[in-house]
Order: sequence, then structure tokens, then C-alpha cells
Amino acid sequence: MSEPILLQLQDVCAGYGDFDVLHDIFLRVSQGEFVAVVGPNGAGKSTLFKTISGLVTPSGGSMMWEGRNLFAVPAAQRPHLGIAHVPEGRQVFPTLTVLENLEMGAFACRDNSAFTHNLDQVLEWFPVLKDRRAQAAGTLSGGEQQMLAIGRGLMAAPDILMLDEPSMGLAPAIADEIFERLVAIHRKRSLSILLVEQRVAEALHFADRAYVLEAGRIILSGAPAELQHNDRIRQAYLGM
Amino acid sequence: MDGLQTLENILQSLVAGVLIGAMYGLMCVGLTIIFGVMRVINFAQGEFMMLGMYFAYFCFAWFGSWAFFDGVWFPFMLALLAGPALFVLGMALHRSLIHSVTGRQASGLEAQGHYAQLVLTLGIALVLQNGGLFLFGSSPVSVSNELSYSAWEWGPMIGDRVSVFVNQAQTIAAILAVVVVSAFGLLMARTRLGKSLRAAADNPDAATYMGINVDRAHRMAFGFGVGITAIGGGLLATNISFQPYIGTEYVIIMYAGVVLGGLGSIRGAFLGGLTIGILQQVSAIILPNQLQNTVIFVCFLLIILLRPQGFFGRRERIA
Amino acid sequence: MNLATLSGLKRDSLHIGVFALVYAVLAFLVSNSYYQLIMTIVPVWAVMGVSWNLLSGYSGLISFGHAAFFGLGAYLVALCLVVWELNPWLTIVLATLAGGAAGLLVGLPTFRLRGHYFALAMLAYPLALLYVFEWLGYQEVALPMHREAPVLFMQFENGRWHILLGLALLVAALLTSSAVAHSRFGMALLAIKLDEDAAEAAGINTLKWKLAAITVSAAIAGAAGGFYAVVLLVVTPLAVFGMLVSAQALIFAMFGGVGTLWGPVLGAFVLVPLSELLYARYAADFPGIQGVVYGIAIIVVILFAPQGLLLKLQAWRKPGQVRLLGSTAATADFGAGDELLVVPPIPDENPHDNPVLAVTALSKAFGGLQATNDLSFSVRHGELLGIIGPNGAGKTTLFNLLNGFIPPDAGQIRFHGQPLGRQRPNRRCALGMARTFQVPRPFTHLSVLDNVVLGAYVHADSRQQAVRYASAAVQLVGLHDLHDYPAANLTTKELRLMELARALASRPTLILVDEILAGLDAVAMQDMLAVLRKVRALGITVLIIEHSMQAMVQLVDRFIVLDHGAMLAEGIPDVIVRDPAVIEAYLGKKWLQGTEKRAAAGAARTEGEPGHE
Repeated sequence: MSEPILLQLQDVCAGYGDFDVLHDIFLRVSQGEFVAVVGPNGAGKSTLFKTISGLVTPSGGSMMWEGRNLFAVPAAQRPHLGIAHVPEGRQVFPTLTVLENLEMGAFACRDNSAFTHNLDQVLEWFPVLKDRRAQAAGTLSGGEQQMLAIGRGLMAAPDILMLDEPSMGLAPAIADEIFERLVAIHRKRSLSILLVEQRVAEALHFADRAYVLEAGRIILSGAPAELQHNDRIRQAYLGM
Repeated sequence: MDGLQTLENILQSLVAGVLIGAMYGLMCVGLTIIFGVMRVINFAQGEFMMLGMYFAYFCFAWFGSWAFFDGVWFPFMLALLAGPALFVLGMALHRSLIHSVTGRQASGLEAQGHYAQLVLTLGIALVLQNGGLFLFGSSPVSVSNELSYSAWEWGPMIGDRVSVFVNQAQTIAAILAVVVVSAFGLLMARTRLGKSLRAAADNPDAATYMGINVDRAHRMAFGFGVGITAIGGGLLATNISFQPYIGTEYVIIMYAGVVLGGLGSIRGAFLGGLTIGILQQVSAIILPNQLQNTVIFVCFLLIILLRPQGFFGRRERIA
Repeated sequence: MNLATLSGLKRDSLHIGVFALVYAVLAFLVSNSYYQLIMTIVPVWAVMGVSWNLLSGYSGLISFGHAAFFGLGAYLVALCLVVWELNPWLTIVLATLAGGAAGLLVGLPTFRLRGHYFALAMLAYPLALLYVFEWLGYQEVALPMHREAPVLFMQFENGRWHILLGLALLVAALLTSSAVAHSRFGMALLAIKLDEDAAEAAGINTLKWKLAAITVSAAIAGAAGGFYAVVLLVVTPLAVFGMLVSAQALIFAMFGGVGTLWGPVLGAFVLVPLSELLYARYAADFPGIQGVVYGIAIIVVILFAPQGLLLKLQAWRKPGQVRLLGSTAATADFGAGDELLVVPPIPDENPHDNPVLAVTALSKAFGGLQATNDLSFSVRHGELLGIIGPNGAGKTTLFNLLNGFIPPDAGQIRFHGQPLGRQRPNRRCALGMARTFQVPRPFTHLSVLDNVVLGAYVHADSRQQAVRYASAAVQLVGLHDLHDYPAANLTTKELRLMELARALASRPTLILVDEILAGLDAVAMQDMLAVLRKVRALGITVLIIEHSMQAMVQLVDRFIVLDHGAMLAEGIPDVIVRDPAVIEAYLGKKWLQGTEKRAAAGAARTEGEPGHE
């Protein structure tokens, strides 16, 4: 708790048009933490991600990044502040090569001289990208694209890496592998991570702290050990 | 018409077709950039070509007699200069008018919001065309010098009958066109700016996630598209005579080349324009003047009805 | 084409009559021949605007090529007079027919194109014709004078007769436009404009109506062109096929108000005199002034009042109010009961043996992703079947396959025993398969009842019947208090209920319900569940997609669980919720392992962990 707070949301409400999806969201990520946000489908996880990224405008509350009001910062500027995004569904640039995708990731990097170093690191963490670096990103498999999207996010040498449902559409074994790499990176670089996930158990297994989102509200929060087999979560997901 | 004469005619038109086609190709590339990055069909593209032509013409008329500028290279340099000049105009137009309808829906036409862009560019076309008529007058002009009237002779080839005359001005213009396209291709493929434009075209949301300002990317793309077509126009100006309404004639030619090559592909657009140029010149052997363009229109209609994705585009499209 | 309530048409006819009277009186007051010419030209261009509006304003398919029909009409009349001395009374009628035929010919291939390709193609037609006519040598066709029979050849000494003829043409065009707008034709076009896919799924044959629209529109344009030739006495390719003609048709409608009856008239009446007068005054110094004026008008309208002046004015007077188009509210009929919505079963079909829907080995891949993987299942008559699965499991793709929006790569779908092949969504709707969409697709500028009426047409013989079916549906879902509200003002729950009503109004035997519960709060969800139970009670089979189990367990008879496009499990709710494979798919393997461990440990203790909040 002595670590500085990087990202803080307070009473945030957000949605599309007149229809609010998120209500009174509170959230905190400190430096070096791995925080997970879990919840069933339709709970508003992607909306939360997009609100922090700036693609959705909140209707109320406050959002602070390193002490500075994030609402005032336009979406395309946020990566330049050290917030890296790994969006839902990978969203690679399909006609650009793997290498070019990674270069785009470095677009917002604040230290351009570190480009080669960052690139080497990313290729080391995800060797399959090194093999395919001249291939068009659209031809990669789902798992490979996910690794590319994460690598892309890391190229900006961010202060926080935000991931939106990285396991979606991936076979469980591959999703596990990706989670494990993420944790390794987190430990090695003390990189703060905000993970939004549908797969509860995996997320709780790897995170330092977690929030549970249901119908647009945070219904639970705490350390994984407390949440791990909480019936309330099971109820939220399965209905009984 | 004996066989050798026909052969000579065909070869002559092929050569002319390739040379003129290269200039068409350049103009098509400009058009396809705008579509590839912004998904905008710019009806005013022909008018930007026209402005490029007149830019070259007026600079030539005003400065061409100065001692320093009276070399044969001057018109070609002016054609190249038309690029940056119109690039600036294109960016200004985007910032003032166009970007406010990207995404906006002309209500009453809600189901297909991008019609607002079509209609807006139509309005711009009308203003430029008719404003041009007022500013430049309706008599045809051209930018020509000795090179436009000289040609290299290739041949005689068979006996002493078949000779092909290769117009010097056309050749230089065609070479410059290829140079510009290649340079632009390199810019798109290798530079940070080019890659960010391609990224914005591929996936605007993800590009925003990377910190790329997509609106600015669109503005640059529009500027490039307008500027490149203007260079093509300036080069073409050394070959033909033109008046302010010439844009309408060429807009369908440009679109024919672009859809032939697949909307959004730079290489495809260039090859498409080249093909159209060849088609036009070769058809001149058998068809009277007015029908040449009808042939192109018919081709254009056939392509979008039968194979809208075009023939030449490949994986390396902008988008 | 069934005519709607005549009240709408009657009202418009009254307005048209008054307008015509005023204009005719004006015609007799004006004696300057130049002004008379302007007074003749203005209605011609108004007619062009009305013609454009009928296709593009009503259906949303923007045509940049109406000059093609206009020019054909003009040349037909001119050449018939020159070559065969046929009088214009006859040839203008011919021009109308020719225009219509041209419209149909153009529409058949071109409507296969969507969006910008359609616009580009339409642009090409008149320009191609322009070159053809130039080549044919018709650079300038002058209509010969026939002083011996001025009435027969429409060459009146007194310009006022031309004005009246032009007015007559405009009146005819306006009446046609009004008749279309107030009929089922107009409603179908409106639905196509607002959401073509939703219209298709509601049973509207979009292609047929689009072709009808372009035929009528082109016919009117042809007539306008023919009359224009008579008035100007000379026809050149640029004047009748040029881009300015198509642009003018567009700008008058846009300036005045797209999709409205009087918009094109307002636009023509303001812009034509303005540009003609500017032209007369300044053309010598300012060649091209007309084009500049029109171009600026287009730009200004698009940027500041894209709906056009009429609608902008209305918005100023009544801010915030959504403009209602069409109107059935006056004739809503809530007396009838729910039984109206039930289709009596075919006598020799035994509904309890044969499945309503049988899916066999259905597969669909997009690029490398297998969205639907060898799926087989059947749905019994009267069943409420839930299709669930985690995000990305392929549920909406399945509906799109069933509904006909995308063709499968492999496998078969049988509906009431008949294989569905490649039948389009509107055809499937006519067979009894209705659908709601994940993101509601309301026709925003229509009232709730009108939204639903559009879905009722597919099985209604007349408008009254359609309204009756729609009213019954609206009543069933509980929206009868809101039936005349514009759909744009509804809450999410109400929108979804309206979608459901629209599906019900088509009297389906099977409804595909796509995520109707997502994001609703507890109260709204219970309301929705109650409605779904009512639907089922009518005997309609319901197939419902959801990702949230919570509500579904209270509702469905049976579940099918999908994962990665393939069937993971099938059975009654009680069993499914405890199925290990399902738990793993939703919560993850580790959860499952943890649960098993805890179950084993918990067996040795009297109580589990204290509940957390």
C-alpha cells in the first residue's frame, strides 16, 4: 500500500447514448500491482476498458492517472501518458506485418532510443513472433495474434498494461500459456497490469487483487484468496 | 489498310497508352489513397487534377519567360510543385469541411451515413469546376514546349516500314509519374508516417489505442491524395489541352482505374490506371473520339457489376 | 399496391390543389415572357426533385445519375418531333414510359451493389449516355417550329400555357409521390431506408420495392425531360445528361427536405429563380455562377441542415421532438385479442411429432475462425429453447445462418420439414420464422405501432388487417400505452419489447430472440420474462440466445450450450447448471477443480466459509 497509485476511478458512470452501462465504479491500481476485473458477459467489462481508454465518454465520476484528470485527455493522447491497451479481440493491424505492428506499438513510446531494446525483449518473451516477423498479422492464429497484441502494448514501455479479455476465443491451453507469460513479464518488470477477464479462476489465480463486476456495478473486491470460492460470484455467472 | 500499317498503328497506340497510362496511374493512386484510408469516395478528385493543371499553366505563363526558368524541364518541375501546393489545399479543405461529415449522417439519409461525404464532395466539385470557369475562362490551354512536339523514332523495324514515334514530353512525364509513385510507395511502406496511415486505415480503433490521431491521419491522407493527383494532372498538362470542365471527364477514368485495381491498393491503382490508358489509346484505332470514353465507362460499369474487388489488388493493400 | 387510409392522400391533395390554384393565378398575372419562362422552368426542376426524392429520399439509395432518365426523355421527344413529326402530347407519355423502362433496366443490375459502388455506377450512366449522343451526332437538336398547329405541338404563342402544363406535370408528380408515401409501398421504402436488414428480416421484399421505386422515379424524370425539351426548343447532351442535372435533382430535394413531399418543391422554388436571376445578371462577367451557387448550396445544406430547410424549421419550432413519418396511429385497433397472432396449424401436419426446426451438421467459418462447427439439434413444437455459451461461442452467427443472412458452408436447416436452401430472410419470415436483433433496430422516425405494422404486412391481406395484427402484438407485449410514440424516445426495455412485437405481428411459428435480456435490471428482466412466457403460451416456438444464465434458468424448457461454435451440452436447466463441462466453459478449469476440492473438504465439515458481501 505504500506504492503510489497509478490509476484511480471514483463513482464513474458511463454508457452509450442515454443508456448507462456502468454505475458508480470505483477502482484502483497501484504501481507494480496485477489487478483483475472479472464478471459475466454483459456486466460491462468492455465498457469499463473503453472508458479508461477514452473511446467511451463517462457521464459522471472521476478518473485520475498519476494524479492528473484523465477525462480531459483525448483518447489518442492517453497512450502517450504511459497507458498501453491490449483491446478485446486482439485488433491487430491485419495487413501490416508483425514487425510493423510492433513498430506501431512503439508509436507512443516516450523514449525512442530504447526501441531496439524493447523489440528484442518482446521477441524474447514471444519467440513465435520472431519467426513470423515478416508475415502479415492477419494470417496469424488467434493465440499468436494475442501475443502480438500484448507485445505491441509492451513496445511503448508503458507504466500500465491494460488487457481486455485476452482469453476470448482462445483454446484454454493457449490462454493459460499467455497468462503465464503475462505474469512472468509482470514479475520481471514490475509492470502494473489491469486485466479484464471473463474466466474467473484464471484471473484470480494470477492477480494480486480483483474486482467483480455485475450488471455495471462492482459487487465484490479484495484479494483472490478471499474471493476464490465465493458463492456470490458463482451466482453472478451461473444463476444458481 | 495493309497489315504493316495496322501493326504500326497498334504499336504506336500501345506506346502512347503506356506513357499516358502511367500518368493516369499516378492520378488513380491519389484517388485510392483517399478511399483506402478514409473510406471516402471523393467526387471532386477530377477538379483537383484540373487545379494541378492550371497551377502548372499559370506558373508557366507568369514565370516561364524569366531567364532562369526557360529550360525544357520547367513545366515538369511545375507539375511536381503542384503536389505540395495542392497538398496544402487538401489539408485545409479536410480540416474546414470534410472532417465534419466523416461519421456525420445526413438526416433523411440516415441508413447510409457516408452519403454525406459523397454529397459534400459533389458540392465541392461543382464549386471548383464553375469557379474555375470564372477564374480561368473556358478556352482550352496547355503547357507545352518543344519537347511536346518532338519524338524519338523507334525503328524502322520491318524493312523500312514500321516506325514508332515516342513523344519526348510524354516519356519524361511518364518517368516522373513512376518516380513519384515509387517514392510514395516507399513512404507508405517504410516511414513511420506511412505506417501510421496504414494502421489508421486497417483499424482506426486500434490505431487510437496506439496513440495515433486518426483524424490527423485522415487529413494527411486527403492531402496526399489530392497532391498526388494534382501532380498527375500537371504532368498530363504537358500533353493535352484542357479547360475547367475537364475534371468530369477524368473522374470516371480515374475511378475505372481504381476499381480495376481494387479500391485501396496503391499498386493496383497504378496498374489499373495504366490499363485504362492503354485501353483508351488502343481503342482510338477503331473507335471515333467520343466513344473512347464510353468504352471506359462501359468497362467501369462491367467491373463494378461483375468484379467489384478488382483484378490487381493483393494483400499489400492499404486497407 | 394497396392504397392506405385515403385521409393522408386526401389531405395532401387538398394542399396540392390550393398550391396549384395560387400558382395558376400567378401565371395569369405575369406577362413578361422571361419571367414566364422561369415560372415554367421552376416546376420542371421541382418535378426532377420530386422524382429524385421518390427513389433516394424515400429509400435512402442515393442516385447521382437521374440525368440519364431526364436526358433520355428529352431526346426522345425532340427526335420524335424532328424525325417523325410526332406531337409532344404523345411523345411525353412515351418519354414517361421509356424513362420507367430505363429505370428498371438500370435498377436490375445496379441494386446488387451497395453503398459507394451504387453511387459510382449511377454516376456513370448519364455520362456514358452523354458521350454516346455526342458520337451519334446529336450535339444540338433543335425542335422545328410548327406554327400551323401550335396546340398540337405545344408551341404556344402565349407562354402562360406552358406554365400551366408545367404545373400540371408537377401536380401529377406530387400526387404520385403522395400516393406512394401513404401506401404500403412507401412504408416499405421507409423501412428499407431506416434499416434494410431489419426490413428484410421482417418479411419485406426489398429488391422488389427498390425496383418499383426506381421505375416510378425514372418515369417521372423522363416526363420532366420530355417537357423540358418542348419548352427550351433545343436539346444538347451537356444540358440534359450533364452532372449539373443530376446535381440539381439532388440539391432541390436536399435543400427543401429529403423524404418529404414538399421539400423538393421548396428547394426548386427557392434555388431555381435565384440561380436563373444570378445567371441573367452576372453570366457575362461570372460564367459558371449557377454551378457555384448550387455547389455552395449543397455544401451549406450538408453541413448545417442536412435534413433540409423544412425539417430544420420544424425542429426550431418544436425542439427535441422527433419527427414522425407515416402514420397509422389514428387507426390503431386494440379490440382484437391475442388469438389473432396464432397461425392455425396445417391440418395434416402433426405438430407434436415433427420438429419445427431441424439443424443438421451446420458449419460456417470466417477466414480461419470456425464460427459454427458441425452443429446438429432440433426444436420441438411449442418449446422454449435456450441457446447459451460464453462470449464468442457463435450464437449470433447461428441465428444469422438460421435466418438466412449468411449461407452455411455445410449442413442443412429444415423448417417444418422443408429444407431452407438459400432462401432470403424475407422469404423465411413469410414461411413463419421471425427474429429480433441483438442491437434493437427500430425504425426511429416511426411510431411504435407503425414499426410493428411493417412486420405485419407479410401475412396481412390489407392495411386494416396489418394494423389489427400489429395492435394485437403491441397489446401482448404491453406497449399499447406508447403505441403512438416515436420509436426514438423509447427506453431499451421498451425498444426490445417493440422488436418482439414486430416479430410477433408477422404471425410466426418460430421466433429467434437474440439477447433480449442483456443489461436489464432485475425488474425489467422479470417483465420481459413474463412477456416471453405469454408468447410461449400462444403456442409459438421460441429459440432464445442469452449469455446470462441467471434469467434463463427461470424461463426455458431446455438448454443447448455452445462453445467455440460446437455443441457442448444439452438438457434441462437443472442438469446443465451442474454439468462440469459447462462450469468449466464459463468459470474456468481451475474453478471446477477448486469446487471439487472444496466439496470433498466440505463434506468433512458442517458448514462452508462464511458468506462475503
